Amino acid sequence: MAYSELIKNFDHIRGYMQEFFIYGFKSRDEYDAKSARSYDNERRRIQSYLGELVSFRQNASGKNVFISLDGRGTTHNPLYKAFKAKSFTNKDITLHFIVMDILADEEDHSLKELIQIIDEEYLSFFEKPMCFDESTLRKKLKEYEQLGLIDCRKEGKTLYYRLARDEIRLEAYRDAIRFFAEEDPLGVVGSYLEDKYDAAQEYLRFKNHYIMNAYDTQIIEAVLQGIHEKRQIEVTNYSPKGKQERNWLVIPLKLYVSTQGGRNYLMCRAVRTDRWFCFRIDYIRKIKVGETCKEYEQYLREFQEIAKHTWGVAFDKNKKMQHIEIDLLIGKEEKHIIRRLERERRCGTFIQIDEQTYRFMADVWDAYEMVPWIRTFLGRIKAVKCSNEEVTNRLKADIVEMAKMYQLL
Amino acid sequence: MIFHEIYGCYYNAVARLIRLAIDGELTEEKIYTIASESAYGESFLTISEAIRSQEWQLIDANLQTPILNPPKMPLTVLEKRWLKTILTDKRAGLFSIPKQGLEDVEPLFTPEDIVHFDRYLDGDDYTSPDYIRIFRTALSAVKEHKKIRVSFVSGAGRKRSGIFLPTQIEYSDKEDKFRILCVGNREIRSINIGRILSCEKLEDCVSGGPQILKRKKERLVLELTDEKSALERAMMKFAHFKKEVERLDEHTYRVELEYDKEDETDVLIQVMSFGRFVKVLEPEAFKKNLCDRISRQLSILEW
Repeated sequence: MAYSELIKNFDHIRGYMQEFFIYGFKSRDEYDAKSARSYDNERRRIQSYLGELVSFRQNASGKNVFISLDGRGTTHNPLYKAFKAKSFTNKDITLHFIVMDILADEEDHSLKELIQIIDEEYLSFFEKPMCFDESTLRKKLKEYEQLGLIDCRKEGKTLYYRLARDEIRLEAYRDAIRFFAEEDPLGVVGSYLEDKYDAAQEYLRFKNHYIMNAYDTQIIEAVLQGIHEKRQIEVTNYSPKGKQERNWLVIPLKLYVSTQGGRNYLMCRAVRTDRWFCFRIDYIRKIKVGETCKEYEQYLREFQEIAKHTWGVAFDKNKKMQHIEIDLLIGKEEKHIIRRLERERRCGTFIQIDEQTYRFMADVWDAYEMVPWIRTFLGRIKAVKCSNEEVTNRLKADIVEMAKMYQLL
Repeated sequence: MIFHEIYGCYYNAVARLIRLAIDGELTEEKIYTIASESAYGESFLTISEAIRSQEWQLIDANLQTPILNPPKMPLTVLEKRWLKTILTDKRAGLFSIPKQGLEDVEPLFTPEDIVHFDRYLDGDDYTSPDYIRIFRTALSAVKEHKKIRVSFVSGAGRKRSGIFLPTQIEYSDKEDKFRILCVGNREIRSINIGRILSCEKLEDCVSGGPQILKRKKERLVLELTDEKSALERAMMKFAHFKKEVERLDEHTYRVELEYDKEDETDVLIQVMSFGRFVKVLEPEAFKKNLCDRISRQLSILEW
């Protein structure tokens, strides 16, 4: 099949965008694609969508493609462009503009009338007019009714179509749309709305802006639908360790978003067993939204109890909770470190135990998850006690290994 | 359906072309310009060919169209539901949004469906009438290129005041805070909106539009050992930096990233969170700062 910029579904390109954006050190031969041609096509598409944001580096292993940009300087998420590349047929685009034009009169029109107007007033304009049958038009109208573009009413046996009423003054939402197009997990919809405006002055910027989650939009949409409508979902999850996909029927309870690590998670419970899971959103390949769950509120309450003691996303309610205490050296003038503890403590608490020592305490399902955070206090850690000795040992070993790495020991 | 052709670049480009064709102003050159602006790098070829061959029966070979009205499309259900969704967010109150028109629309989700589990706990209070007033004053000053007279409490807790030219408003998802970025003395001056006591828009209008200043950048070079998924964790965490990664051997990677000099302490903290898996190679001052912390750590830990 000839190359096209447009794509039928997003699944394939999602994987490549992920690789180019997050890593970008693999050469062409290392991609697990079906063929080299498939790689070439996806690379060409991404380059076409993102232009100069796609860079290349040549080294001994070959040519590496990567996407590189400064999130803080990026006011409009460029990855949304890929969502505007859905393919269509010649009939789709032709019908779209003609039907919207006919219905612009805000009158009711039957299918027969529409066919007649399309043939006589539009297609006859061309040398070799296209041919539409009633069934093609009916399907398109049905689709547009579902999208909300068209209202349909029945009179006797005849269906009448008219343009959907739209009383929203979009201009009044402009600032809010600009902000949430970047900050909302389904911000691409905001970007669709912004396409209706002329370009405006840039006045908003975003720090710690993880734009790459945009390529997971379809998965996030399904997760949020499941949560909001209290429905069970079938998740096809990819395990990088086992290098395989597996299906799980689960009840989605929360979308956990990391503002510091760039990773998002689905927190959920198995439908048939008392098992709880968290799935990385970027590892989910597919989601099918299913029926509503009668026990949803009960499971949500249970989860909320569990969540009171999660540091990150790990929990196992069948295991014993772990207690951790960290003593930190904080000078009298170092109020900013106390402010750090206040704002970063999550489920923990802290007290002052002497003039220059503060003790942070927490009971969590998995104290190992706290290790990266504890390391950020390097230079201040006076003591660490944890009911999970692995945590204390790991931290101490880390300090020694870091000291050796920089020849300080 | 979030991935649909009606939201696509090609449809947007064709809508613009039809508008020009209705007015009799469409030319080959404009097809090229619009396809390049509204769509992608190679779109011109496809769009131009589809029009020339009349595969899309919307514009003929003479660049005339049977379409009578400038293309317009009502909002879709998805778009309306998304607008309703953003109205449920606590930050929506900062913007003057009409409440009418979406009463019967169901949001796609509500804020309770999402947990930002590692977000700072001292985020701004978006429900405070004072905060909202200050935000709106600052936003309108930025848009109108006007100066503001501000009094605020500095990070060190001292009361400050001054006249500034605001150029942008910045939001940090991690901190859940807005800052006003102002033109300072050859640098960007940022003021946390949450620390502002009063903000008044002045009538002085600065000609020549907004001045977007650039922050001073530094280049950080790291050597990363890929154990316990350190590579993936680091690449995700550092994804908002401009960066380049090179594989040195099976488990070792060289990572170069660009950061704002003013954020150096924060970047150092992020690097420290990776412990022994990440070694700083450059810059020397950054490395020295890290080594000082490790040395201090060795001396105080009760082993």
